[in-house]
Amino acid sequence: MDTVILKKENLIGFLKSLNAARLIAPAAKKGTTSFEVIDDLSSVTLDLNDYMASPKKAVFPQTETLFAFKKQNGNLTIAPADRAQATVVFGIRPCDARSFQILDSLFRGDFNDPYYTNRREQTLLIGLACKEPTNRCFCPSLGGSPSSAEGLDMLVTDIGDAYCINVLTDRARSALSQSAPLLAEATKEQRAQKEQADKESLAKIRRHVDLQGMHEKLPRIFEHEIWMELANKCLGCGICTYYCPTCHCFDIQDEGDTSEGRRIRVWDACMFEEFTRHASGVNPRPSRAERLRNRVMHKFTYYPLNLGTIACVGCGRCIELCPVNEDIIEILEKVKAVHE
Amino acid sequence: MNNPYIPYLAMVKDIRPETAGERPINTYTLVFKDESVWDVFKNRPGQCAMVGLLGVGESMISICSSPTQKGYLQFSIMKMGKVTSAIHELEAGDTMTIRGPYGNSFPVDDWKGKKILTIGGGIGQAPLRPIINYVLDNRKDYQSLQLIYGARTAADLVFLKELQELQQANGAQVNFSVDRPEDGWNGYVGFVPAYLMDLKPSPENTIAITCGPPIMIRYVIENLLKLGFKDEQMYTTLENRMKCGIGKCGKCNVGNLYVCKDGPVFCYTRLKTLPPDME
Repeated sequence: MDTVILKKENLIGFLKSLNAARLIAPAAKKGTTSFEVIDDLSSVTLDLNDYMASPKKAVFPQTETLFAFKKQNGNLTIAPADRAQATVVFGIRPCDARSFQILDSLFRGDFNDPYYTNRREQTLLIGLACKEPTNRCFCPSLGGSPSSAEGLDMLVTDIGDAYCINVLTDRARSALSQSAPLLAEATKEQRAQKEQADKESLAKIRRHVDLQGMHEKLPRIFEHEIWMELANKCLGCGICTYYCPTCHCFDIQDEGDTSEGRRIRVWDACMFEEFTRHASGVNPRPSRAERLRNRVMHKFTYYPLNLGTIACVGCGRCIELCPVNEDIIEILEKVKAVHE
Repeated sequence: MNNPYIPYLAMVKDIRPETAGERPINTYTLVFKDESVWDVFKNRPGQCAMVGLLGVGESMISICSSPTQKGYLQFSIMKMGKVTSAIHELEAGDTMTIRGPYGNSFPVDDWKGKKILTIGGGIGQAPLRPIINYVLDNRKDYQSLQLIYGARTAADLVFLKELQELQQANGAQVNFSVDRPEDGWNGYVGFVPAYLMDLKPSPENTIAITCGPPIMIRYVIENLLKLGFKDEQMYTTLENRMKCGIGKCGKCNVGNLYVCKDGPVFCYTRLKTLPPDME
């Protein structure tokens, strides 16, 4: 039973049958849809097409405790943060699921990051194929598609009157142990409907960028004036990094005082001046030009060199959210147009 | 599971003031509270460690003692930012934290049979100290040892006493310089790169290791090349702002390399391939 059908009216029952200790799913909030920890299953909505943020925080929270410490009677004790809860992320977009694989290569790399790895191992990913890609989406240019199943345990596709579910992993099969009464084997027609839906959504992608030769070209134009030009309108606000599903840079800070407190990890952004500033005041990336260049090169040169994959999934959120309309596709096109 | 973010606890055994002034430098001798940490903490010359204070934070500092100095670690720390200022408030017996050791190291074993030349500036002498101590503790393995070391004033020279003692013992050649003339100074006056050209050390069978302000490193390497040193005979060690120490937080990269795990030690053959992403 690898392709099954769920009636739309049974969605809540289906989510209930998964028995997740923690369910993270899209819910309407402040006029948009965002991934929230769900207490009330009726708040889950799959109607709104556009998610402002990826569910990255499910595996890499914006703020998390690394450990707590306490000094008592001259003895200092360090208590690592609790282990992660078993979690189901429902409704993750295919591009965002691919971003988890990109983050995996970093956090599970040569030094294993136990916080990320533990959360990741505890997380089941149920994707939702995109029916209406936005006008900023360009996932096919990065090897994805609105119906990509890569990195997912299950993929849900809206086929009109029902959801078609591809069950992709053994973990997904065990998670469905209580769901059988709600599911039916997909018929030949329903499978064809799913294929048709995939084709239609792919045809709606409007933006594309050819990245052939990009990671080799960027280092060759490292000192070109184009970076100054591209950074001219950048405000250095960092929103592109905060909403990027593959951005992973962080800061480590202490809260409390020397007798009791915690050490936390918080998202940080390479677009901030302070990010690389030494205590002495020296800054290896002193202006927005160096910082923008580093962000582009990190994604399109350094990540491929170090970890074998481009750190972009083509979700286009940085394009959508930039207050001054910096557009990563335009940036890459301008880089390509530079004469060497 | 091994957790690289959890620090070891260490006790401040000794604090030795090196320089005074607005930004004083102290050398801290630390011992692990749990001696079994030594089973896993195997530092090599040139490596760094995250030293810190719980409730304040951590700073990446080069380990300035050599692995031949057993049972303790030393760090020469300038009072500069939030963490190092708090460290400067400590007294012997206080608790600090250590994570690491991080990064690569000077290939001191590959340098056996060679002449070792260190060229330091200011606090940049600290990462060179483990090489010097390692060579001294394995003196017969190395042909000779020469130090060129300069600071703004004589009072800014760290490890002054022990380096002066070197001059007498072990046949090491020690050359000090200060940037500006001052009373009672009989040594060289001028910048380190200029002193290097004055001394003209021979590149023959020599390894030159330099550390100091970025501008000094640049001119030292330029001058070493003029003296006939080959790329593979020159080493330096870099620093950048760091938080994780394991190549994940994204702060310390130079090009695609992370100073914390791919450095801090770079042979010039590799250094010259890096993009000009540093001051």
